[in-house]
Amino acid sequence: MIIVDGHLDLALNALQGNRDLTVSAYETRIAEFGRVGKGMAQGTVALPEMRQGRVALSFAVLTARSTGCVAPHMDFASAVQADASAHGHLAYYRALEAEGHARLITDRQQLDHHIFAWHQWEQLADGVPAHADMPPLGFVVLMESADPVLAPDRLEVWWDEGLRIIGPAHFGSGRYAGGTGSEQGLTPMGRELLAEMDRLGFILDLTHLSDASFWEALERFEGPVLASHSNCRTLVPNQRQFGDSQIAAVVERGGVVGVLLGCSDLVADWVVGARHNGAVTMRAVVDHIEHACSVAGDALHVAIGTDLDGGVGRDEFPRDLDTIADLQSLPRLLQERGFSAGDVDNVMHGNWLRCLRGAWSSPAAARQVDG
Amino acid sequence: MLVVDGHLDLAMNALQLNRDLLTSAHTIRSNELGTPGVGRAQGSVALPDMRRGKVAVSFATVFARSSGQAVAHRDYASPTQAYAIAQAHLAYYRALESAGHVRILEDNASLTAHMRQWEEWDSGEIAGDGPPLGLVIAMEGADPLLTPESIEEWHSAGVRIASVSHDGVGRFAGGAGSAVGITPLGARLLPMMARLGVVLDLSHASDRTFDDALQLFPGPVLASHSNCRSLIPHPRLLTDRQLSAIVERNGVVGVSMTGWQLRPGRRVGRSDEPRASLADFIDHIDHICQLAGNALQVGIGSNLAAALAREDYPVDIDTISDLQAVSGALAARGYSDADVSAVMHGNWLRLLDDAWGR
Repeated sequence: MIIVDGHLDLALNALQGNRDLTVSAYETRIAEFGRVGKGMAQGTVALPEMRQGRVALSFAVLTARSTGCVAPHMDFASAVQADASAHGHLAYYRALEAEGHARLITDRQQLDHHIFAWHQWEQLADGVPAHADMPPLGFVVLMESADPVLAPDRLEVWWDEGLRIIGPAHFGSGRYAGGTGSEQGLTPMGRELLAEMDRLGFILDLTHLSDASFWEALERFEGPVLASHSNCRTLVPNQRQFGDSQIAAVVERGGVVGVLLGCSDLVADWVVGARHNGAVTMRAVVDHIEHACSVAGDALHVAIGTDLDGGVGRDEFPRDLDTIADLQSLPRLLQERGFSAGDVDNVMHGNWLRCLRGAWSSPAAARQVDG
Repeated sequence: MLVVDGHLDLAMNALQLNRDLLTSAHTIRSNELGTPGVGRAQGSVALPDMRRGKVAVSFATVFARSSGQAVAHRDYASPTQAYAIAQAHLAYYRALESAGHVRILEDNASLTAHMRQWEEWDSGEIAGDGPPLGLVIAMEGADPLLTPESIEEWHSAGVRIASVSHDGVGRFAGGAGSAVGITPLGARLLPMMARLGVVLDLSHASDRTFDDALQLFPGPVLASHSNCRSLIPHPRLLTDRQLSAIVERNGVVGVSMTGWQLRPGRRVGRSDEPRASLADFIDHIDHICQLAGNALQVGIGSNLAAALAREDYPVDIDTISDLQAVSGALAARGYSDADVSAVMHGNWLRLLDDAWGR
């Protein structure tokens, strides 16, 4: 089963975490053995495991905030620094592409070609252990917090460089919008940004927006929307997750919500970093998928956006997942919960693909192609 | 007096240390009070201070090692990662340029126009805070090059100076403290650099690399930030023979302000040991001038942005704006006006002019 993952912070791991993602997660765990820091020696994502897990496509993140609350390697003291750091992330993906590990997907044609190649490989590969002719891993580049965009009129340069999805905010009050943990809405510059995103054909990622930003962005933005990694507030009542009305609003726009795997986003009573949390398994992921599907009324608007490398390690994810390769257990768990074979396909990859194809067939995207 | 500084790790300060270089060094210090780490709350370099110090041109580094010995935010686990970090450094300089703070200099025409503008501003002919700061992009250690041939891509992107290694053993050469010379990859790189006109920086080279490189590289050479080994016995510094070899090639040696390279017995981070002073700095300049027989082969390569504590720089230097004090110290040591301006900026400019005239 090929998988599309809506959220991986790959470049952050490589450049700020100094992880060589071309070697396996297990090798990196050994290299990090004894080192102190969040998630150290407990990484779950590297390119070999992504291949093993058949993660044919993922939304690969550029992230560098500049909110005014400085945090080392994450939240920069000025927008110029965030711009540069995000460009480093993009350069990393381009270098992986040049080395044949990855393929950056920026339009409908590339997407169709890429997915066709993976399906073709999978048909041949099933029953054959060797992964010899596996196609490269596909990346759609997503910017998490638009802080690195120096000004809205600079967005076209980012489009030309390959960026396709933008979440205007991350944590706190960003330059363009209030994000998680903030009650601020869009800033005046954020409104300009959305207009420019619409003009160029960008996809809007609603994850991490404050509630105020979420509703205003949905109202203003006319183009395609998604939520790359957001769970259900009904099950985990905090602002980081989406309430049912938010899920319904995304569905109404034809968008897709990616369910994430962090235990603190899966169950309400999880304490990050605590030693005595209860047992959380991948069934909790199915709980969120199921709830979001029940809000949507079908299985066409929910997918996965794992966030498996978002700064924490194995101990903050379901205990029956060791690396991203274990995402392959999800289809069976979904079937056990009564999802049809077609619905399982949709959740594992079909919905994200339809979402991208729709976005890249839109009038704005067509204008871009026509030049 | 206008200053050219041969070595500043500006982007590393901005991206790895998260310093907003658009605010003054003193502002950055106050923001870092309580931040743990070497040199925190003690930085000496930011754009406003460079402006006050009339640092019209500096060699601004892109710097990311990948030596096989991973160190967080400094030595990366793969060349691909080092490549991306160096690209981020370059993107920082380009972003500063697009915001009007700096001007990236790549050829003689832009350098000449840039210096004319600074001279006019310095003499009061034009008002204001001064023209943009000039940056010449220098790659410190070639590890970010995915292949030797890719230097061409970096040259197109603005890199004009490159060294082959930092400390330890890099992919292209052995650095200071190692017994390794130019590697096979390095032997492919040097002719490419010469063909493109990229200036070779010999700072941080091992003794073997130094000799190998001079043989393999026919182009212009410099040492951006290296002091005299006959004054401070340490393999990171240049022997008299090496200094003479650079002089023979009409190169320039940038004298560094790091205290341990200035004062015998002074070690990094040792508050109990006497600090270096500007007088020690002039000693190194003077040693090179005596060896060369003139004042034409030496410049300033302050390395004031190396993330060291203030105590590891001369006692009479607070921020980079104090580079202005160097001219007086040289004059006091008997240097003529012409020689003072040669050391402060003229020699570096001549070297760039020669290198870019080809």
